[in-house]
This record gives sequence, structure tokens and C-alpha cells, in this order.
Amino acid sequence: MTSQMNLLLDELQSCETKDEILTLAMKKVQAIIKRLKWTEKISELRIFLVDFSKASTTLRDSIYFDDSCKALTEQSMIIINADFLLELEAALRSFDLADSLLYTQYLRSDEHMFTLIELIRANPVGYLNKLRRLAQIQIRNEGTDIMTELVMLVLFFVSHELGHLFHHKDEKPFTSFLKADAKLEQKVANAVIKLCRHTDEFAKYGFDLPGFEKAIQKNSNIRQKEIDLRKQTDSWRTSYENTTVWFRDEVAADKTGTEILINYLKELEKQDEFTADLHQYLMVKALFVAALYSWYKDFHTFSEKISSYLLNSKTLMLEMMKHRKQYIKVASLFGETHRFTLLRSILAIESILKSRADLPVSKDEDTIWFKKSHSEQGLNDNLRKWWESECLQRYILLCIAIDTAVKMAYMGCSTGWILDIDKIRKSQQLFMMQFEPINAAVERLRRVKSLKFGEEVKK
Amino acid sequence: MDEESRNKARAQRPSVAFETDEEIIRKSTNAVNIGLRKIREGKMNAGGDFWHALLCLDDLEDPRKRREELSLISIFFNEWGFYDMSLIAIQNALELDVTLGDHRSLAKDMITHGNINMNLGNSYLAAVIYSKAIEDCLGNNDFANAASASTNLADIIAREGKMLEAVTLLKKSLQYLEKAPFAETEITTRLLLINVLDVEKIQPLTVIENAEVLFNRYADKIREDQKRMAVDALKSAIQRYLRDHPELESRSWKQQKFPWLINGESGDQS
Repeated sequence: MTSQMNLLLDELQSCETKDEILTLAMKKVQAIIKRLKWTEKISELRIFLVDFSKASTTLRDSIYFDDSCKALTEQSMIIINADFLLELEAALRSFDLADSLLYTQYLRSDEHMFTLIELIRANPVGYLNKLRRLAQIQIRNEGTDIMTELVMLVLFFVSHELGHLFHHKDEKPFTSFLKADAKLEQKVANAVIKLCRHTDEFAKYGFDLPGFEKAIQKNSNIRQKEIDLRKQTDSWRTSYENTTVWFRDEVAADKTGTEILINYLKELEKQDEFTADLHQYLMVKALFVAALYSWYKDFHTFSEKISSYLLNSKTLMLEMMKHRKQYIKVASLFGETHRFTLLRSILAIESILKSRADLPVSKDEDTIWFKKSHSEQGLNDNLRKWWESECLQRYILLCIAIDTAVKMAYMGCSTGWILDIDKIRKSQQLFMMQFEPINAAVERLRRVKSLKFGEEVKK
Repeated sequence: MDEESRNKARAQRPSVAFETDEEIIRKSTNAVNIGLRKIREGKMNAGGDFWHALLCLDDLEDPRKRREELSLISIFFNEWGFYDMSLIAIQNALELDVTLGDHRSLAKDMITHGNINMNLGNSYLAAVIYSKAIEDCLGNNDFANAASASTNLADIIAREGKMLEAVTLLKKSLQYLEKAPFAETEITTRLLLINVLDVEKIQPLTVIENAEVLFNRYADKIREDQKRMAVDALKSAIQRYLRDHPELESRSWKQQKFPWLINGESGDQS
């Protein structure tokens, strides 16, 4: 290792966060990793939780820096940006103010979601401190252990990065948020190639768009246009193949990551089913918040960039109608190297819930709506059913809330072909796509009666 | 935020030093109004204005005024569904209540804290808060707030299906209200009591007595839907009461007690 690298590593160590809550969460995650014997599978594993606010420009410009978290295989190292976790902790605590999903204030409207994002963005640590202080008066009963919820979230990120180390694939960050100063995609070819890949991924897991079936049919005009665009682009091989290879690597890391989470729950289950259920509930809660918050954060940035004012579902519909190029810009919402974040979270939650298929609600009950009871009699059984039903509700809500992203990907994938048709027609046709606000997604969730994996959702 | 850190933060904002408490309150109120206008016009970002309104209050010099404003803004946020801000405001108000030794305000703010948690679906925590509020209020002879907390607690307990416990609490609320009358709480309490007793089909006379008070004293203050519920419960209670008292002549008894029921003009007892 060069002396420059040594210096950077020294600085990295000195910049480890002093935040007591995050440090404690990380210690607990490291203990779990050790218990699951992952420290034996990856020799000399080091995990750094770094406060980059105090870092030198050299460190910030080095391979050690990332906005979220990353793995460096050669050095068996995982680096997590503490700011990334502090922001998500604020989101977790905010959502945790309500006991049950349907009482969450941020699901009342997109405006409430955007307000949360703005409050956290304006002063992440200041806002988080106010939320942490609220714990003094919001003394809660069972199932609301925010520390364990945070540990489950950190475990999820670390597990994904362990997947990279295990498969010897590195240096791709866990997620990439749309940055306020980043330029939105302008090139039709880049956008179409990328969004067709995302469309394929959505379709693979059943997220389709009626009327747009041709976007996923290999021989359709839409996909022929995509292939033409690949050929017309100098770097088409790089662009197309990179996306394919990156997706493959990330899918492998996600898979390993999810397996680690499932193994953790199975280990707990051997000792105590009740604790395993609680941890599963907290895991799903954390994944749900991280996914929804991240999506709305990107959506907020995107909205600010394509319009002079913040958009709601109605004004977004009008803004997207203005020009075809809006669906080219949409490609920037889909990150660089990963499948879409909401999709990844849905798949992770689904795997976790399916792995414990003997859970009472999924197995025996014909409803996902359970009322929590505080009576002593049958308290534990009631709680376990309530936790599971809350997990299922979150899973279904994410499946519904992905609707806007699915529409954008299918439309973006089709835009190359649509532009050709515009040219032939010599005029544009107005195309109106309706987008659903979060409260409408919640209304759809309320109409769901039950869920059995492998079966259609009963409405 | 404790007093020391609040003063430190204040010192770091020199421009604020020139504002009087009245100006700060005006600034905060303006921000609230801007937010409200945005909501009414269907625009986004009202939450940002509300947050600004809350932050302004940190700069109030007089702790009593600060407490009062925090308490008010917390109720406002709670009504408009901004529960996170509502909780942050009420926490600061509660701390000031303790610092100032203002027991009456403390009880009121505890009830607001309970109400926010009710709206957040945290009924267990709300019940704990209301129970503590009742205890504190009774310790300070604050019977109006004790009645309010007791009625809210009864509501939670009734939703849990523990109807008899709820009835006991509601009757206690009415006893507290005799010592410190408060019309709004009395109406809520009597309506809830009528409702709970009707669900259980017990104590018809209590239903009748409470309906009598409601319709005689507060007829103009009861909403139509509440009136309908109370009339239905009353009819059912009268039927049960008369069945238990065959010695009474049904029509004349009803005519004497509730002539408007006989005429079939529900709720129009004038």
C-alpha cells in the first residue's frame, strides 16, 4: 500500500463518527456479523462509519468516499457515510411516531412526505436531535425499539456490501441519490437503453403497465428502436453491457445481503420465535421507510429540477405532458448501477416474509388487518399477528407506490420510438399519464383484504 | 431545547436581538397564515411555513409567552395533521410548564400531548398520559382538566371493549364537572356515556337522565349526527326502562319526560 493510501486510511480512521447512537448501532451490527460467522468468511473485514464533514478534500476525492456506503474488496473494507445513516435515522424516527402504518402522517399526502424531506434536508442533525429528544416523552410499549430498527437497517446495508466482498465485486455505492446540482439526462439513447433495462426488471417481477406491453416485447418496434439506439451510440456496448453487468453484480450482492438477514432471523428463531418475529417486523419497518423516503427524496429533487415549483401528482402530470424530453430526464431518477431502489426493497421484504412462511397471518388468516390489543390475555399471540400484518401492509403499499416509477420507466423506454412516430406524423400528440399520490396508494391498500404469497392479492 | 442552549442559539442570531416578543409572535402568526393560505390554494410547502412559525417561537424572551404560544401552535398543528411539529412544540411547552411551576398549564398540555398521540394511533401511550393527567389535576384541584382527561381516557378504554371501566370513568368526569363546569367536556362526556350504555344495553335510567340534561341544557350545541345517536339510544333505553317498570303508564310517562319524542320530532324538543 502506498504511503498516500496509508495517510488516507489514517485519516479515515480518525474521521470515524463520534455519534453515540450510530456507534452503538454499528457495534451491534458487528456483533451480529461475527455471530453469523461472516468475519470468518471475509478475513480482516473492517467496517468504517465515517463522518466525512471533517474530512480533507483529498479523502473526499478518494476511493474511500461515498454518499451512502460501499465495499472495497482488495482491502476487505466497508465504508458507510454517517450522514447517510443520520438522515435515514431521522426518517425512521419520524415514521415511528405513529404506532401503526395507517396512522403515519407522511402517508396523508405527497405534501407531507415532501415536508419531511425538506425538514431533514434543511438541517439533518438539528432535526434528528429534536426527534431523538422526543423519545423522552414518546415512551412507547412493545415493538417500537428504534435502536433495534436502526440496527436492522444498518445490518441491511452492511449485508449488501458483504455480498460485494463475498463475490469480489466492488466500488459501486449502495445507492445513488439524485443530486441537486447534477444535470438531468439529455441523451435519448442513454435514457432509452437504461430505462428499457429497468422496464425489463419491473416486468420480471410482475410490475407491468397495461397498454404498454410492447415495451417489454423483444421484437416490438419499441425494443427494435432501443437496439438501433445502441448501435448508433459509439459507446453503446459500454452503456448497455455496463448496465447489464452492474445489475448482475448488484443483484448478487442484494441476494447475499438478504440471505444474511434471513439467516439472522433463523438464528433468532431457534432461540425465541417471539424475538425473531419482533426483529422481522423492525427489519421490514426500516426497509420500508428507507425505500419510501429515498424515492420521495429523489422525486423531490427531480421535481425541483424540471419545474419552478414543487410538483404534486396533478402538476407532475401536466409537467410531463409538456415535452417528450421530460421522459428522457426521468432516466436520472433511476440511479447508475442498481435496479430501482423501491424494487430492491420490495424484493428484499418479500424474501424475508416468504422465508418465514409459517407465520400465522400468511399461513392461516384471511385478512391482513389485525387490531392490536393491550389486554394481558393472549398478548404475545396478538402482537405477533399484528407485527406480521403490519409487515404485509408495508410490503403491499410499496408494491402499489412503485406505480409512478413503473410508468416513468415504461414511458421512457418507449420514448425513442415515440419520437420517431412524432417525426413521421410531423406533429406531437399530447400524451397524458396520471400519477398516483401516496394517499391514493394508501386508499388502494385499504381495499386489500388478504395476501398469500404466490397468489393474487385479494381485493 | 433547555434554557441554556436556547440562549446560546439566540445569541448566534444577532438580528433577532432587535425583535420584541410581540414582533416575534406576529412573525410566527404570519408564517402560519402563509402556510394556511397555501393549503387552501392547494399549493405545496405549507409544512415549511409551519416549521418556520415554530422555530420563531424559540426566540421569545418571556418564558410564559413562549409557553402559551407553543401550547397554542401545538394544538393548531395537531388539528392540521402535522403531528411531528405538534409533538416538538408540546414537548417544549411541557418543559416550560415544569420550569415555571404552572400546574394548570401542565395539565392542559398533557391533555394535548395525549390528543396528539390519539391522532397518531398511539392509544396505549395516550391512555398512560391521560391517567397521569387525571392524577396531577386532582392533586391540584383542577377539576375541569381532570374531567377532560378522564373522558378522553374513557373513550380509549371503551374502544378496547372495556365498557364498564369506561362508564366508571365517565361518571367520575361528571362528578368533576359538577365542581368545575365546562360545557364542551360535559356534552362529550354525556354523549359518550349514553353511547357506551346503549351498546351494552344497561342502566337505562342513566341514559334517560343524561339525555334529559343534554337536550334540556345543550340542545343548540349538539351536532345533528350526535343528536340522532342520542335519540336512538334514548328510545331504546325508554323501552327497556318501561319494560322493567310495568307500573308506569308508558304514554303519559313519555309525554311528561320527552314530549318531543311522542310527537316524533327527534331532537326538536323546544
